[in-house]
Amino acid sequence: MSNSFRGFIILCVLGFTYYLLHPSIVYYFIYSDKIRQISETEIQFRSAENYSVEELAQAVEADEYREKSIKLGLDLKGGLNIFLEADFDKLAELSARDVNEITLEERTEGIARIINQLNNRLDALGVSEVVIRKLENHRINIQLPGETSSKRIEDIVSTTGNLEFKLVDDEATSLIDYDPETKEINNPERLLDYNVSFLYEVDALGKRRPSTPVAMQKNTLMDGSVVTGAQQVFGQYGEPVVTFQLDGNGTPTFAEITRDNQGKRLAIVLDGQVMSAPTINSPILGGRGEISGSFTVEEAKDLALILKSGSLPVPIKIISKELIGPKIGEDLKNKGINALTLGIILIFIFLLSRYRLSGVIASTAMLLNGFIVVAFLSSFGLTISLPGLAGLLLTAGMAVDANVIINERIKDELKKGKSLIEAITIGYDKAFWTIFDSNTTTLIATFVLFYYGFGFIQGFATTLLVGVIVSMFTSLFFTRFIFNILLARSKKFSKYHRIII
Amino acid sequence: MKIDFFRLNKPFLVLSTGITIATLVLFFSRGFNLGTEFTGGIEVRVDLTQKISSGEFISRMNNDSLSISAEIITSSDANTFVIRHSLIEDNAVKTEEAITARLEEVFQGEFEITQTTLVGGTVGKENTANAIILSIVVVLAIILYLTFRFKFLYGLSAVIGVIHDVTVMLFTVLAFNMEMNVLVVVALLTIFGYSVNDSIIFFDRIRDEARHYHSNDFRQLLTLSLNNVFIRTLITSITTFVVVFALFLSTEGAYREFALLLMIGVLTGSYSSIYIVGPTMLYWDKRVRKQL
Repeated sequence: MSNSFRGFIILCVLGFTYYLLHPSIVYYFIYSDKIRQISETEIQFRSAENYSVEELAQAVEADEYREKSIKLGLDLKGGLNIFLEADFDKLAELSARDVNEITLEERTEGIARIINQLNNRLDALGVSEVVIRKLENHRINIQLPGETSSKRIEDIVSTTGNLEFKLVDDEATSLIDYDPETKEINNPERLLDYNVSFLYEVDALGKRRPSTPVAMQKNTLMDGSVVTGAQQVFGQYGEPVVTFQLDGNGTPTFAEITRDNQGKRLAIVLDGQVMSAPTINSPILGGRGEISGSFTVEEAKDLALILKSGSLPVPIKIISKELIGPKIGEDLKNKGINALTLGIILIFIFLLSRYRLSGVIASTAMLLNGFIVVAFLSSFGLTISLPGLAGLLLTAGMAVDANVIINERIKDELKKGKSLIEAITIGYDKAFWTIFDSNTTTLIATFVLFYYGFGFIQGFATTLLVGVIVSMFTSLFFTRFIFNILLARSKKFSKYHRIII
Repeated sequence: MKIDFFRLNKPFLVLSTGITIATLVLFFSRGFNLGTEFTGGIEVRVDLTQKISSGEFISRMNNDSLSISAEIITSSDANTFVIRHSLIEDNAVKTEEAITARLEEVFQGEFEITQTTLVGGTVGKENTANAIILSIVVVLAIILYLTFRFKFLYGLSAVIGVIHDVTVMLFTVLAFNMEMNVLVVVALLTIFGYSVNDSIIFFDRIRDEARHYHSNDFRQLLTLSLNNVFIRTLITSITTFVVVFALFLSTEGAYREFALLLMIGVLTGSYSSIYIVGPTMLYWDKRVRKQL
């Protein structure tokens, strides 16, 4: 291969790398901290009160760059990483079916719809950069970077949102023998024909606890599927409540229910919990209603959100979660960068002292390796995380290894009396297969890590994978290019033999 | 450079055997300190405004229903603790609520939770299974590849060397009672690859030298090859060691232990290429010749 062609390929790669890294460079180095902060909040929350028109405009520009930049992983930025699983057992229970009757089709469709719903809910919340992924075994992974209220998100995400309207049977309710001490009902046998649940109240600590039990008629008169809209407003006494509107089917149904049952109590049940059970005073013909239940503003807002987006077709539960505070993330990020810098400097010093000019070449190759890897990773939309940094460190070590093999071989050949040109050629030829073999085994290990890995192992494996492949390019191809350039002026350089290696 | 490495075979064999036995003993007596990723449970990192000892922390937090383990992570101003607890009623969410409620009870707001990791029971078991499968597949894949590129003997020897390295690393984990978590698994697998790397450089050189080498003395051949690759192996080990050392210096807690394991792994990786792989090949070669 002619050296000019080599040079051409290298130029292309460098150009491409720069193109991929350009947005990140602009976003992180050109725009100020403030602008970046604005850019990271959702558009609807950027109020004109806090920022000038100029700043807002700049932020919109920055948005474009941010889309294409390197993103920080959860463990470096902080955030919430939740794993959820579809609870088919519960679904079977609720729909009175056998769990094995739920077909695979139903399950897959269920998951797809859940993901859709969750997207809606989280969108409405205004959380930026949410990642919702489908995993195998009917599982879902949600990643929310940045500072978030974990509890609130978890509630929104794991609440099925099944709304039911049932009639309270006052007579049956009065029969209930409830012991508030043991929190148990002592005569459940007499209530078999009814649905018994609890009204909830909010205690001193702000927690919802069951208070009084109510017996309801088993059949559900109306459910949440007819609810078209819901909002949080302030009720009669200034307390946060949720108002809802019904669609073309719900309005007449509701009118009928309220007309036929005046004086009775209508229990509004969400996922089996009785939110409230107001008395029906007069028929409601307008297809609207109100739910009150000692909500905080946030709770009411969240409930409205869930009602509006609809209930999840299958109940889901949280099986595992990771919450990383941004402080920790910041801390780790700094430590990671320190480690990387320190490592690189130490390698530089070593390479320079042993291989002199060739050492400089090898060091440059190593840096180039780093840039290309980062560029590629960011183009795949992957985030930089601490395991990723560890992977980069290891890649740096291996890239150096390749050059050490080559340079040692060159030195060996020089000792045997070969000329500089010959030594370099033989060095590269012999070294190639050795490097190839050793890198391949690392690649094998990395592939396995990638395929079977869970959690952050994959991040580590990905970085290592890309790193090793690129290192073969930089260590062999690039350094050879530089050597060839030097050799082209070999007459001058044979004299400076000592400096080269 | 002419070093007769294999002269020291016997003493090092004793050393390696000693470490292996020690590892087995520790494993059967103490067992691993499994991390939450494998057992399931909760791990919470809490910053307290007041400074108390970990003993006091544990005794104040524990009650009839709660029995936590906690350790301090040294921090300059506040006291940072990492609380661990197994799953309550196999329910992840309940467990978290229990811990947060208790923290609120005992410390009444004078605390801040900076990190939470919750792992459900099934997930823990799956992770364990995956980790084991991972390891086995890598071993098999590497033997396969090496048999393909060289000879079965080489593949086997390399793997025995790797097993030795893993044993030494496990010894470190057990001896210091480190937590056996995902990072440890990653470190082990990384050193797998690294150790095999080293062995390959060796094999490659043997193949190279064997072309010009016309005597039957296998031991001489190996020694010659070793000598030739020694410098390169030494340098690579040093550079990789230095890089991992940088990681060690810059981090704390679990990542620092990860770096420590990698450091040890790098050292044994090189050691095993000389004193485990070499002797194994020699021994096997003698046996094969006897049959011939």
